[in-house]
Amino acid sequence: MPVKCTRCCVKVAVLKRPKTSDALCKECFFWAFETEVHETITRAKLFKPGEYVAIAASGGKDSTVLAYIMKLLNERYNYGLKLVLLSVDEGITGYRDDSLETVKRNQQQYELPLKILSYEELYGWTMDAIVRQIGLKSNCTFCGVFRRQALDRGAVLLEVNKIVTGHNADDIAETVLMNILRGDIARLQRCTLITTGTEGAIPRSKPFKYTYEKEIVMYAYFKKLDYFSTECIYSPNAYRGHARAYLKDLESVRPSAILDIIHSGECMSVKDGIKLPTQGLCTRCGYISSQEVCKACVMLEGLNKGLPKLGIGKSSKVKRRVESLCKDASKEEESC
Amino acid sequence: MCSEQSNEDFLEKVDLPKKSLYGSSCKKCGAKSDVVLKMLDPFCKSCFLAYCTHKFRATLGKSRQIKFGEKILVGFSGSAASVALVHMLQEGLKEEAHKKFLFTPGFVYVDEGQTVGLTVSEREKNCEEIIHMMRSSGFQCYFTTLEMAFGGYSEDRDLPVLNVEEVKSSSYLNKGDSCDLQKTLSSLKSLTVKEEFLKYTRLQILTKIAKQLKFDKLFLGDTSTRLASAVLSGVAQGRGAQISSDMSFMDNRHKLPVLRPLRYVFLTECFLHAVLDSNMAVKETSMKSDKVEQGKFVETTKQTNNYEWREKHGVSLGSDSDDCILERPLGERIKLNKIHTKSNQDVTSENITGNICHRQSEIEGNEQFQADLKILEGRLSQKKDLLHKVSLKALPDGGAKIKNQIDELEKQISGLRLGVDSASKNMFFIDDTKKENQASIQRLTENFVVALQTDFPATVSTIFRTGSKLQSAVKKGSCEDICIFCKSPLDTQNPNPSSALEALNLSEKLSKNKSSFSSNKLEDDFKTKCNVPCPCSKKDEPCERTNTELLSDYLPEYLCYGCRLIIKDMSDVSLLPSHLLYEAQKAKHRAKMKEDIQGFLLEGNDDM
Ligand SMILES: [Zn+2]
Ligand SMILES: [Zn+2]
Ligand SMILES: [Zn+2]
Ligand SMILES: [Zn+2]
Ligand SMILES: [Zn+2]
Repeated sequence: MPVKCTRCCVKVAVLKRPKTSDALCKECFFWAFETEVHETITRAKLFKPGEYVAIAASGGKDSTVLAYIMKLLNERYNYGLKLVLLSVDEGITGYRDDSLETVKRNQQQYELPLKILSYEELYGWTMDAIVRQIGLKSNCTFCGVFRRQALDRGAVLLEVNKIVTGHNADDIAETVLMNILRGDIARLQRCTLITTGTEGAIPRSKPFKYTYEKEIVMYAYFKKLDYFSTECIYSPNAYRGHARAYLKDLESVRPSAILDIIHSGECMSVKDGIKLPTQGLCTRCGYISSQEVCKACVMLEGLNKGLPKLGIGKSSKVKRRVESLCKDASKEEESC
Repeated sequence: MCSEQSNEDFLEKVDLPKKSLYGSSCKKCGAKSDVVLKMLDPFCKSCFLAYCTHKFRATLGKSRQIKFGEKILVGFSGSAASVALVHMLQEGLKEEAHKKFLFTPGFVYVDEGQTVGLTVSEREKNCEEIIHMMRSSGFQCYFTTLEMAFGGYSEDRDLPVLNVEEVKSSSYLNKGDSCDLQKTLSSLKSLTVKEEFLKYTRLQILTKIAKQLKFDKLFLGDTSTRLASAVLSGVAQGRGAQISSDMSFMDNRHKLPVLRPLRYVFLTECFLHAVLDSNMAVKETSMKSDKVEQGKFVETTKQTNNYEWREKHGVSLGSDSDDCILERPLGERIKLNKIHTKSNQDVTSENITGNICHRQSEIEGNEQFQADLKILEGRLSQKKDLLHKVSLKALPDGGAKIKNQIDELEKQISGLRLGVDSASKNMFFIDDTKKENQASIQRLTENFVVALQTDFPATVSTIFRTGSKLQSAVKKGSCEDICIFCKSPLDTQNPNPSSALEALNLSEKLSKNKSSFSSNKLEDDFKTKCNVPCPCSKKDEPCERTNTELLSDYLPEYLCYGCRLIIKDMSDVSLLPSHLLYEAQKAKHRAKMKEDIQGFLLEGNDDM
């Protein structure tokens, strides 16, 4: 016998919400999903009317659903926002093409302006050109460092007020666990904030902070949204991989674990008197950096002066570190 | 961006020495070593014991929390940690005057045999051994059972506790109303909440006993391994605000200060300590998952003073022919690896059949599996060689031990092979381990931490360090803002509208029937004694809501986030211990009183 929707009690339920395990029909699920994101946005006061907001678009499921729902909510609730899709093209022949195609289709489907910024525009160098300069070996270092700054640079070029990214509850819970495992209390404290950005930088926020990844997939599936589904080409580093596996196991024991972890993260802070590294701005480019000159600027300097190895690191330890950061960059780029 | 300064040391796998360090010379004195810690540091027996004792004494000394002549009650559970603790205390009291401990320890054992489903005779046997052990320790020792203490718990009455010297027969096992505890436990639906419930109940009982026996402080045997997994499992259960008290040396949330003197000692070190320092048995009982559904538990008893135990815990001593010390038994590590591979694939019951072949080849190709198989087979042939070389009669036990070892190895190997040989059996194999290891959040976490520790030896200390740098972000309020169950400050009062707690409330509200009412409205209805037609019942009839439903409405108000998760997983809230329900009622009453006089209260007069 088909199960009836627990909300409207009329229609046949088509799914069980992973968050609450209630059985809902399609319409009621859409309504609940959208209302929750709307509430997240309004309760955290993410935007002011008239703001120009860039949606970080990669063509993947999170950012595709984010673009769709930002457009929908902006119209439904009169946020009064001007929206733009922002994509970064690293300029690696054959790599981004498919996902950029998806983003281009999203632009037409959702009637949102799209701005694709290339590394050439952002840094004056394409990845292909960098590879030609320095060989295949260390391009990963560049890719990671450049990637983490690309959105910020793009946002400045577009002169937007804010950036939104598609990080979901699973991503945040995973980051909480990972930062505990590696003892990074500075990031542990930051990672559950819904909006990040030091003074002087463009604020980034996560409207999907409380949205389960599974529900995003369900929403895209039932709305038949077009997204580019591929795993990130970078394998997650060892610790993130373990944190992810652990989180999945937790979720299977108790589905609310994802939100429970975020609650934990929101309820703890760093002990008084423990010094945290201060985040400042790079004196060259003005982006967030803990050094006086950021890594990207050091590397650019090297490239421009024909000393491409500059900034890749002197010791093998530093190099390994930067490489592992690069591998992590796909998730890390915005989550910190 | 912000990743520049992160400490990546944890990423570096320590390169373990190719050759085993076992038998090499002691790190401290150069004598032949008896143990190898973390596969890196060889110690001889006396240097190892000194090293552990030093960590213990330094923890006590630095804290400066223990005053001259104080009486300290030690919660003795029979675990390796509590056995090690007894020995360290005995040593400390034997010392010369200037190093001698200046406090008087006493021990209490609360038998939990019933919760793990032991039969009366099994429990009798266990308790007798422990009582014997306690009597011979030379300390003041007390004894009670969990069901006895649980059934007789009341704020203003003493708990039934026996001095071990007075224990004559085993009639104590039938004392007290054992039904209460069983009822409450069977009402808790998952192993996670059962374990969580027992954890706080145990603590409540221990502190009450300590108080009633006029002790000043309570010692618990929490090791750093245990505390590290407590950090993660606490976070996973929404207890982020409590992490810092949960792992601090001194915990002041309870009736008297609770201290954790072993917080810098690793669990493995406790095992080794217990083995090296004595032949005292380590008795651990834990709930096993496979009977959870029926609300019953099966025993698991581990003993240190035999070969089997040592093999199981990967501890080998100088007298054994094995040539290295492993931190973990092989079998367990394999199991853990499999679970992680499995969870990456998200296997559900629907697609299991499709996955069998795939996973079979995956296991065969699994390097860990191959490596472990190789080690086991190597050991087996070594043992068999030995059997050929020596005459069995020459051995003191007629070769029984070595025969046992061979049997055991053969069993392990065939167990491993079983996982590969047949696809259907393979399914079974994996599902069993999954059930066992993922039965509860606590167990899942402990296995996760131990497995990670094997690959990254800094895991436990990193988590431990992270935990000790954290504090609660919840503002301290009045005494009414304390969770009635775990005694932590409530992290559920006036939540920020933009928070996980409110997001969850919203999701629950949005997925429920449109015409249903919010819980706030419900509360209001009850404040007016329900003489208006209750929305839950038929027209013009008084409220038909049961006591349980009423309780579930207001009880969460007085619980922290983590404890709310416990009662969420409970089939009948009214089966909670009556003193707890009474406290909830009291709290509700006070809240109502406060509301009535709200307008007349002055600022800062919050803690009446
Ligand atoms: Zn519906
Ligand atoms: Zn790269
Ligand atoms: Zn810069
Ligand atoms: Zn030595
Ligand atoms: Zn609590």
